[in-house]
Amino acid sequence: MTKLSNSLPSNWGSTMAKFNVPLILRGKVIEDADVEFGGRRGGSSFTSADIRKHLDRLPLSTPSALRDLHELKFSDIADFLQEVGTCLSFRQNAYLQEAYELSVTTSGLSPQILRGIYETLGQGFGRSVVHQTADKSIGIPYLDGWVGMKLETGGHAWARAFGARAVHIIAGNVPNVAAMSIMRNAVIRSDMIVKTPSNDPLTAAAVARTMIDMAPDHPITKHLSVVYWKGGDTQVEEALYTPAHVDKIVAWGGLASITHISKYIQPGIDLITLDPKLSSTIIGREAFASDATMREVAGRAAVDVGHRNQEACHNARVVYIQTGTDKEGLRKANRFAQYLYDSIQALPPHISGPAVAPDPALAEEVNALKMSIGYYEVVGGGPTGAVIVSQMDEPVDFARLLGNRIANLVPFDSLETPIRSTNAYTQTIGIYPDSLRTELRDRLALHGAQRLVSLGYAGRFANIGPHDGIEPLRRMCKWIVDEEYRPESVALASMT
Amino acid sequence: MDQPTASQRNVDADLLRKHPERYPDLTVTQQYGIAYETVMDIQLAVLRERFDTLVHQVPVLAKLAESQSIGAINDIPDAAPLLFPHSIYKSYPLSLLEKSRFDLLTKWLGTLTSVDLSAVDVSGCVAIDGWLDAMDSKTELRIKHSSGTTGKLSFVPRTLAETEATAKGWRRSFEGFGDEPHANALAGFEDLQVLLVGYRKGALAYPRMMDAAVHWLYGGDENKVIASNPGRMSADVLSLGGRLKAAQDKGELGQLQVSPALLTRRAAFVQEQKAAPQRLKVFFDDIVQRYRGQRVIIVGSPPAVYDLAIEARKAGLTGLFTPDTLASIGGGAKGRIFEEDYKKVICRFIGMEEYPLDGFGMSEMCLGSSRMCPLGNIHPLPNLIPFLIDHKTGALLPRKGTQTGRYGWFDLAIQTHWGGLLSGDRVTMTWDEPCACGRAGPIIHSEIRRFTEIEGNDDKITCAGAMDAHDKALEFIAQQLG
Repeated sequence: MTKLSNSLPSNWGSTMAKFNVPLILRGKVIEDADVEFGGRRGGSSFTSADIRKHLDRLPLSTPSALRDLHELKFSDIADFLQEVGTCLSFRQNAYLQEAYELSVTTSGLSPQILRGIYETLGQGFGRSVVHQTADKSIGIPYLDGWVGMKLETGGHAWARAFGARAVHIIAGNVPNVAAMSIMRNAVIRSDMIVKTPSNDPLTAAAVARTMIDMAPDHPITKHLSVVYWKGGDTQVEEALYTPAHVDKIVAWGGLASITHISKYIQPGIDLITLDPKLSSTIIGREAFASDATMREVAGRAAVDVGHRNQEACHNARVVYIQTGTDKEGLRKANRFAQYLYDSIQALPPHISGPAVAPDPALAEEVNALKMSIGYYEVVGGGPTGAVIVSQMDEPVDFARLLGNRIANLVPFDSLETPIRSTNAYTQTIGIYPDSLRTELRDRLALHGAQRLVSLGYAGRFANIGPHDGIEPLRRMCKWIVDEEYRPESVALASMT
Repeated sequence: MDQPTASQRNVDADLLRKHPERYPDLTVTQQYGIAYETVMDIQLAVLRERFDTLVHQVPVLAKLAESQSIGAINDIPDAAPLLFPHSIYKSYPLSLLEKSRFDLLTKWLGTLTSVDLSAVDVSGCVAIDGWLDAMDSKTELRIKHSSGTTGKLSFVPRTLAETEATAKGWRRSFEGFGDEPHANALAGFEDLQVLLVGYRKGALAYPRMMDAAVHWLYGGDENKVIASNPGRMSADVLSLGGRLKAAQDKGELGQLQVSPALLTRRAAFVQEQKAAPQRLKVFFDDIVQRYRGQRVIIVGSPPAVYDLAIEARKAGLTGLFTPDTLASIGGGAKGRIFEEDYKKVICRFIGMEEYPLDGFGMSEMCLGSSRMCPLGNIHPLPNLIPFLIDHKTGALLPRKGTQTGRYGWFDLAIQTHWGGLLSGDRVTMTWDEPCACGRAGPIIHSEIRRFTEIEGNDDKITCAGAMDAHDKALEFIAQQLG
């Protein structure tokens, strides 16, 4: 679901501080620095223990070892996570501070934005978030025990959501992915091996170490491992990805990552993919009724575009605007572009700022359009971002590259234009006004859109289960049925 | 001017100031023998003249100059902000091709050239190949297209007249400097048969180069060039090949649509593909029979020539031609992993002792191909003004000492469109320490990398990969239900 950041070697020649990424094996911290890995963005690199030396201890010894997790009540888990959230106070938590410092050198987000994220990371473990996640995604009774029901065809059945042995190959474009994955996994009581990404190798480890300091013997602490290896390392992956060791693989990332994992998929291993996604915006004609509305709507669209420097999957990239494509329409579109650009520039630094890792390929495309004549107008440009206005009802050919706070306004006459542009790679669509949202939602859903939201709120998530068109938490569980029939009420097949 | 005399440094600077496209009339020794002060004088004079003329004729240049508040060029560095990004030549919406709006594509191209295209009627064109043919026959343009990133081809509006320098420059590229080997490589050049391993027709760099050679060097005698494939490297197929690769890389192959116009040509493509092995065999038998033991000119990309060399080895044939055979095998090995050292295999096949030194040039240049010197340095030809731009800030790096940055150039031989371009290559240059090889002027160090490669997300199909992409696309079209 993430758009992986297009990093570049902006740190050539600079000497970066060396970080050691600890290997965490079910409560045990191994701080050896056996191997050095190049991080993203050139200059930064980090060391870590060589997981190949510890491969025998990486998988869970036996599935029965999950029993301790299943003896917990949901309320125990919620209490534990609430406490983890409290301990993840950025000011006091040295692990989190270290993760922040490394992220500053590897992330596509600015230090101010990263700081904002780390300062609020603990909130994702709060009781209300955890409760809503568990209750709306799965239903707490199914997590806590067997839920019984009388069958209309006779007999009784019970169902329960069990945890599994899971490997999570997470994305690193925002640190929240690590935190959210750990929270979700605790809720469903799985044994978790986090394979960390090179653009965020420390956040998951920071959460794990916080748990170890807080409650070293708690079952959730004892079922969390955090490992870095270079994705595609066959020695590690062949040893780990077998049905003898793993039930579920949750993989974030693009085709390259999924392709090499998929060769390990066989009956007994369930692969749950959270693909890279892109998001867009549809703004109906009501927005252009007056200059004041145009400015207000531009302010809302700016948040969807610029929030977290457009590094996330939910950020708007192509913005469809119903100004019409005649001369008057294009004039309005070009004016709206200026308002949008100004609003993006005005976002506070902890929300958004100039590009940290500008993508040279994208910058070159934008430069070319800025010079070219006829089909595109460009407001801004350079590291602070840009708004490209198509002078026809089509996005730019490099729409997939859009990032670094560069949005593409596409004027249109008929709503069919944005509807038909929606496909399976579309995650969020921010819509204005809300009446248009309800009007379009069935059509957009059929075309592949996975989430519709009021304009300006793309960065807020409902956390009620569905995510990228599936229910990953339900998929992460093993759903088991226990059935009871009695011959006196349900005849045995052999007797009929 | 082929036989330099003692006064080989005595070149006519005034003539070159007016006609820099005539540099290739000079020997390589003469070109690199000119004092660099003089070279720069000529460069500045031509640069000013080009700007003053083209700023009124090329709308995109006018727009850029205005936005940069540049009204005149007084010194070479003044031109740095005016280098076009290479993507300018693909700044049209791809949908123009998909909807066969070649009228609008022509209009777009008209903003990049001084050639007036306003009255050209291309309304009947349904495919890129057809449009290129129409432009060839109705205008003085001989549009050159790239192999394309993600299926979008760049179109460079070169004119027929400009390709004279291209042809002559290609000829010069075989020649050594001073008393280096190959100093006399051009003796008897006009009598040598050209064996082209690849497609003869099309608007990609190689076929266009051969067009220019036949027109300007061989008096229109098409028999001078024998191609392994006399057919066309189709721009439409190549564009599809690029989109195919991009879609494959993103896992979106299912979304790719082949245009109906292309599907109507499916039968011809299938035939073309089926005939390929037979055609290569015919070519091979032909050249063995007619040219074995002779001095020839071999032209092709490394993968194509390598495959031919392997064919020859299977047939038990090595040292097919004379050791002084001329080889123009450009484009590098990128995109293809060879089982063996391709240079050795090719040398054994031809019978050459040493593989030709690597060259450095870009297809957007009109007069750009030069080879490394024996010391392994690249020397920009005197018609090319080199620029190094700071990758991060976009500022011009000082034209002194040793600097690393993004390579830009201005080609004096280009007359009808803006000759300044910013490449995607990271280059290190030394400006003020002349090379021990004796060539005057700044040097480019041999380690050149694309910025996108350094970032690790390069999806460009390189020149060397073009044939491969073309053939894969043919396979794909053949699989579509027609």
